[in-house]
Amino acid sequence: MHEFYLVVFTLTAQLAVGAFVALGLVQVFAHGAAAGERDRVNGPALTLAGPLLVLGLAVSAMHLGSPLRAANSLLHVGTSWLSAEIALGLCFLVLGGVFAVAEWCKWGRPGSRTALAVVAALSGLGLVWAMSQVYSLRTVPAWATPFTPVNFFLTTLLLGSVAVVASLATSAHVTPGENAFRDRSVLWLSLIAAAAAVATIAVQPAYLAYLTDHPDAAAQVSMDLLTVTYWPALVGSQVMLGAGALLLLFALVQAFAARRRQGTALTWPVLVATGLIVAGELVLRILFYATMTRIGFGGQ
Amino acid sequence: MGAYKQLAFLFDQSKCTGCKACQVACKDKHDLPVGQTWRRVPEYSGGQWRIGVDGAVTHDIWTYYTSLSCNHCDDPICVEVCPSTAMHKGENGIVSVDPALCIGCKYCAMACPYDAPQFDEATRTMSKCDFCADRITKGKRPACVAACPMCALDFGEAEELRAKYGDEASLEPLPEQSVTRPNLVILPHPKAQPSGHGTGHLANPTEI
Repeated sequence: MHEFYLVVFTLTAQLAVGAFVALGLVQVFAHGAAAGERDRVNGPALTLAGPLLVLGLAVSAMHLGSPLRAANSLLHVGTSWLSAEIALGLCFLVLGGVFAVAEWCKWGRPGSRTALAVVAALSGLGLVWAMSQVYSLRTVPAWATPFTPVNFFLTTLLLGSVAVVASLATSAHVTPGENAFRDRSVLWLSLIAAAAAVATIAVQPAYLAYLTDHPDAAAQVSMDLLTVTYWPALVGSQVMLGAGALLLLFALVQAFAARRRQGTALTWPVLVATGLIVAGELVLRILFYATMTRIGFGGQ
Repeated sequence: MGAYKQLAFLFDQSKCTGCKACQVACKDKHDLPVGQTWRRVPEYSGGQWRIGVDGAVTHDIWTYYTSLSCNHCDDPICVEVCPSTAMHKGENGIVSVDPALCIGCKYCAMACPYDAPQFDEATRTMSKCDFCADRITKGKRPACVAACPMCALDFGEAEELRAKYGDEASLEPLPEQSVTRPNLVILPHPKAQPSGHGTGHLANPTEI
């Protein structure tokens, strides 16, 4: 399946951007945390985001008929959103990579490193926007809607925050010990992830209503694919996202009630919740490509 | 500079019998393998059978064909979305692929509502109708036009064809022409239905 590579690329790239941004958000609230505590939060998450993005970009080149010419994809920057997508992806990869190395080796002043991180995060968000515009083709009614950027940014927020939570919970399991900053990061990012999962579920009925009201026959074909042909997949994705969000919240409540060290207590439920959420997003993204219908013949 | 400002195809739906000589002539001229069909002939059918009170069975079944290749659009979405600039509008207004630049990402095929760009497994790049540019340069007609036994298919300067025959291309099963502004002028079949408001169906989806 030609789109399989695109499913993997869009999900991993959005996860990488989201993890980077989520990490940036917790840094904003890091005042008072000891440097050692901060490093133990940054390390695991940054080691996750970088390789995943490299993997995503490599996979995206795999779907090309002539992968060795991949560099030609940059020739139409300014007109083609696909060119912009690749350019911003490379920007984010280089800037994020330099930032990660600088953090590790403590290069430059903290202020300059933060500035670099902000620029990297902005190019990452630009990448997600470019991805959404790549699919906002005026010949595909089910894609050329504000729901495409909304869903892509929700995926970014959801997968990014849940990935950082999972990596922190794992690192807490491997290297236990008091780390109030890590526990606080896990708490807030879990709440953000749960909220993003609920928002993703809430958007679906609005999207289906939009397709139903769309005048083009191609939109009706997409609607039929979603609600008749592939309805078990659609329902399954929603159930997995909902269950993942509930499990995250359950783990938090349980950890607080038991007054245990949150990171350690959370590890297993958090990893299961992460698996459910990733699986739900995977199914949703496969559906995104599977319901693609063009105007003209596609609407017949 | 070419001899034309913008080439266009002219197609008379009432004359076409759906014989597909145009399609085969195109495959022959360009030596296209199975899976690549630059010119196709969608068949659009509708109507129904009725049993009257006297038991007589009558019908108003109809069908019409549209010979369709790349329409070398004025607003070509394939050129717009192509990341490598391989897809371009060149001499005589012909939209073609530069095989030395194309990376085979298939994004043009994803965007085009006429299914004009098609992947070539041999070169691992995109391929499409080039309006028989070599024949045009020699003053000859495109292979498809030359092959049509009904004289249903013709070509010419877009402006002149529109001045003479009007500007209709928004007919089922094709999309509304405002989307990409195709250089295709259709003389409608009496039963032709407007894009997006058809009551019929595409009768040969596997051939398109």
